[in-house]
Amino acid sequence: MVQTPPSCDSWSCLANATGLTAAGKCLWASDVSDCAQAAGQALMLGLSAEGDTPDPEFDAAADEASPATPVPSQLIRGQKFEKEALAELGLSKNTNSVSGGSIPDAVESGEIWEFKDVKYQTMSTQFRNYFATGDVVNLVVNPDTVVSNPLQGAIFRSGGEILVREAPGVYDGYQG
Amino acid sequence: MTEPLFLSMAFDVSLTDPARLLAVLDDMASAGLNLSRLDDIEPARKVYSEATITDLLTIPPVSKELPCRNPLGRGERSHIGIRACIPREPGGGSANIVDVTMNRPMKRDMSILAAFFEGDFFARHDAAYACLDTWPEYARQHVAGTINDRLPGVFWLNWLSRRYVEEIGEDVILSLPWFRATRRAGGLTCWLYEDLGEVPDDRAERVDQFETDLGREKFVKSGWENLPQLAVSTE
Repeated sequence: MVQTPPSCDSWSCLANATGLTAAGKCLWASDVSDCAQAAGQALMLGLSAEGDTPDPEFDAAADEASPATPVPSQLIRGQKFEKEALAELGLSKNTNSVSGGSIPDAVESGEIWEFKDVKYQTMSTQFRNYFATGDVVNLVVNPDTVVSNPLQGAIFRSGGEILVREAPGVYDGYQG
Repeated sequence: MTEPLFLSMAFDVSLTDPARLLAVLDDMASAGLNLSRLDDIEPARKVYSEATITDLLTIPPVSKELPCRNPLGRGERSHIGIRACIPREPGGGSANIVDVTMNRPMKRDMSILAAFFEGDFFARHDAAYACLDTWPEYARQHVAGTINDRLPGVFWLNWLSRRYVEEIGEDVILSLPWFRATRRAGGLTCWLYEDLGEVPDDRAERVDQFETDLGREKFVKSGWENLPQLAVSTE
């Protein structure tokens, strides 16, 4: 069991105090875009970052199309999904982190927006950090994404909603 | 019954005090909702204990920058989601909520959850609003916003504390064609229909009609000016 010093006032401090490696800190306290290199290494090793489960079929096709790319296909796909959805919803890319080091994809009117183009999304450290801010947290996913029940509940409790990007510019509420 | 049951309770006090949250969870355990694990990420791995609750609520300490904690509890077939926040200004997204999801429910589970509406649990723990229905029905009615932005909906079982009853008007609430409505210590419990296991064909129409009669603006984010604000700062 990891001993946590009570003097820490943030989860980043806890990550440092518990002696995690650079990649470990990234997985524990930040999100993919915060630490692409470390997260990329983890993804290439077959690990997932902060509860994301990549889509292996897409990865295989993308790797075939660009075998020399050093960036994991899941990152490219996620960034494309995020960029398109941000534009469609009229949101701007955010670059400021919350306590714990995670960077929400967008922050609009005090509400956090996160975009996930993954197979399965759970209550990860990234979302834990978002919910701790007390702000409303919203999630946008693809039609095949399964959002865990605990995460669905946490989003509803925050006052947020889960939107499914059914097609470019077409969004619907997540039905579980 | 195959659909998961969902109980949601909104408190008029902050649950960031470990002793207070522990008292709520202990009472829930006494009613049959025992937790074995508690954590703030999935999967919940930490063994449920007073020390775990205290750690999750105090390390790092709640502050203006980090005002909320969101522990997830796991029992045999139940999941308990918690949102514990220190008081903030209205509309800040904070709220103090405990909800229970019961998977593969049996008749006994329905009775366990319904019993919260018939005893004094809500009054003792300052639960200002509560509802019980199936998870799919709760999700169907979900509208963005916290308990301080709008009423969540009309469900099989509904608890309205005195603050809500006074704002809406007891005569208005009791004039609706509930299956049953009873006065309890600190508020009203209202049944939309008799048995959660036997959903009437016209449930959606009934919900729609009740929302119209109570005032549709109350169920829309920021639509009700006099919506009681729960556990918010008065500074």
